[in-house]
Amino acid sequence: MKVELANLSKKFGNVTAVDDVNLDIRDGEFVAFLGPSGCGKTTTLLMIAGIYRPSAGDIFFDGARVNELQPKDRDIGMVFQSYALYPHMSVFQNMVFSLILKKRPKQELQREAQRVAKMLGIVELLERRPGQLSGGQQQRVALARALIKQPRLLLFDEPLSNLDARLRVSMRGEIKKLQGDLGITSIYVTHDQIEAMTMADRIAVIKDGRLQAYLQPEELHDRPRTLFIAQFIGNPPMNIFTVELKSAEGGLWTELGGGVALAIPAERRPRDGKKTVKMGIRPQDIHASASGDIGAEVSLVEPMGRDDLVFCKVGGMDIQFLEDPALKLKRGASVRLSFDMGKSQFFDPQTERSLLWE
Amino acid sequence: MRVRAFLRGLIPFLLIIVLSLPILVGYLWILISTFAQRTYGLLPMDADGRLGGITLKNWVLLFQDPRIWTLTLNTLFLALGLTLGVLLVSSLAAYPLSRIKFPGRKGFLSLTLILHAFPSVTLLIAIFFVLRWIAKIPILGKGIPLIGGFGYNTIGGVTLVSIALQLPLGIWLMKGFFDTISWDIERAALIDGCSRFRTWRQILLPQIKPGLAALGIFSFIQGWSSFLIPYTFIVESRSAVISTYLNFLTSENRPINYGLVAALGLYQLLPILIFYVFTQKYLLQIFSGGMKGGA
Repeated sequence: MKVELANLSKKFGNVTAVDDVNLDIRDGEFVAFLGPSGCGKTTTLLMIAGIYRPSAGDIFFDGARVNELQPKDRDIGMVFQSYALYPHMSVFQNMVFSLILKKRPKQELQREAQRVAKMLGIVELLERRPGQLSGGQQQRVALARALIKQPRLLLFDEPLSNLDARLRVSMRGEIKKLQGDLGITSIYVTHDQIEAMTMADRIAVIKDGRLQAYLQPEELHDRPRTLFIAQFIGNPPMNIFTVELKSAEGGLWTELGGGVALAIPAERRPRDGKKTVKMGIRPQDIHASASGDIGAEVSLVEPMGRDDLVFCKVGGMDIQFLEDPALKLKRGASVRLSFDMGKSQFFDPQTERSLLWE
Repeated sequence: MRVRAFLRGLIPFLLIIVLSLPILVGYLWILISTFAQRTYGLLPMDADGRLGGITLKNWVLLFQDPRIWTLTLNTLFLALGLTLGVLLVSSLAAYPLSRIKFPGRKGFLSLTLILHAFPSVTLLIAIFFVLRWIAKIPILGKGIPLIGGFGYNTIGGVTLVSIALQLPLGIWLMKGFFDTISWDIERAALIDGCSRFRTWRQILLPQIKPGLAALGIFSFIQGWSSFLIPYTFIVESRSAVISTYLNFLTSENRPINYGLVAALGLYQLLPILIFYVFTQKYLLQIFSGGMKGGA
C-alpha cells in the first residue's frame, strides 16, 4: 500500500509535536522514522495509525484520504515497544482477537493462528499467557498479532528497544527478512540509527517535529544534508570543528588550530564562499601516520575490539578517530594525524545546512 | 544477640496486641453474651447470678422474630445495590477521567476529591428534601417491589444516597487503576478493531479485576454495616436494616435484652468476618495503591 503524508502537523495545546511533514512511501517499502526521543516520530506514526487526529494536513493510503478513518478500518497492524499484549488472554487469544472481532469462523482462527505461529516459531507458546513469556517471545507474539490480520501496512514503534543487545540484532534481521518476504509496506520508528541504517530502504530523519531528510541509508551517511544528520548518523559520531577558510596557491585551505592548514579537494569545495564554516570528518577518515600534518596528544583510548577509538586534542579541539589496535596507542602518547579531506563535510554555521549537498 | 533481635521483633506484636485488646475484649463479650443468660464481665451467668447459664435462647429468640428475614433481605439489597452501583458508575466514570482529555476534567477530579473529604452528615437535611421530592415521582418514588422505590423511606432511596456518597472514593480508586494500564494496550485494542466501549469492557476491565474486587468488597461491607443513612431516611420498620434494628432494640422503653442485642450484633458481624477472611488480599489493594498494569 502506498502512503502519503501531506503537510502533516500535530499540536498538543501550544506544543507543536509534528510540523508540516511531507513524505511518500512506496508500496512494499520499508521506511524508518529516525530521531531522538520526543522528536515527533511516534506522534507521526500514531497519526498514521489513526490514534491521533492530525491538527493540519492529510494522510493518504493508496491515494485515498484517511484522516477521519477509525484505526480498525485502516487495515494496519502495529507492534509496540511495550509489546502491549492483552495480559488476561493466552497467546492464541491475543493473536486471533482481531479476527474474532471481524466474526471470522472458528476453523479460520485455528488455521491462521497456526500459520502465523509457524512463521514466527511460537507454535509451542500458543496456550501460554504473556506473563509467562520472555521479552523476545512477547515481541514475537506481538508481531504475530499484527501479521495475522494480513495488514496492508505494518507500523513498528521502537519494537526492539526493550530487548537485550544480542536479541535485538537477531530480531532486526528477522523482521527485515519477514518484511521482505511478505512485501508489506512498513514504517519503523526508532531512535537507534544502526537499526534504521540496517533495516530501512529509506530513512526519514525527524528533529523537533520537522523532517530533516528522507533518503536512502548510504546517502544519509555519505552525504548528510544537515549538521544534525551528520552527528546523528554513524557510530562513533562525526568530528565537527569550526574552521576558517582561506584561498591560497589557487586552492582552498582550512585553518585548523595550531597553524595547520589542510587543502580542500576541488569536489569538496563548500558553496556560498563563507569564511567561517563547520567542518565534519568521520573518525574512520582520520589516520595516525608518521607523515601526518597534525601533531596531537592522545588523551584516552577506548578499545572497541576491531578498532581502538582514540580521543586526542589538537589546538584546543577534541578529535576522535579509529585506529588499528596493533599500533598500541596509549594515553599521553604523541601522534601525527592525517585527515582524508576527500571525505570531509562542510556546513553553514547559522542554518546548519550542508554546503556540499542539496 | 539472637535473643535481642528476637525480643526486638516482638515489640511490634506486643504493641498491636495491647492496642487492639479493648476491641478484642468487646468482640469476646459479644460472643459470650449471645450464648449466656446474662454476663458479669466476661463471665457467663445464669439468672440467679451463678457461673454458667449457657443457653441458645438468644439465638432462638432472634430467629423466631419474623422481622429478621426482612431485615436481612433489606440489608442485603442495600449492600448489593451499593456494590453494583458503585462498581458500575465508578468504573465507567473513571475510564474517561483517566483516558480522555475533555474540558472540565481537572475541575471534575478536584471536585470529587473535595466531595470525598466532605462529611456526609452535613448533607443529611438536603438529601432528605431530595428524597422527599423523588418519592413524589410515580412508581419510581415508592412503587417498586422489594426495594420500595428510590424515594424517602425506601431501601432503594437509601441505596441511591449511599452510592452517591461512595462514588468519589470509587471514581478516584478506579481512575488510579486505569492509570496503571499502558496506553499501548488500548491502542492495540483500537487497531485490532475494538470500539471504545468494547476496549473498556474486554481489555481494560479484566486487567483491573483486583481493583474492582477491592472496591466491591469495600462497598459491600460499607453497605452491610451502614447506619447513619438508613437511620436517617428510613422510618418504617418494614424497610429497616439490621443496624437500625439493633439501635431500635437498645433504645426501647422496656428493659434491654443484651443477649438478644449481642446475638443480632454477631449475626450482623458474621458475614463480614467470613467475607473478609476470603477477600482481604484484594482489600489490601486499595491501600497499596493498585497493581502494575501490562504483562
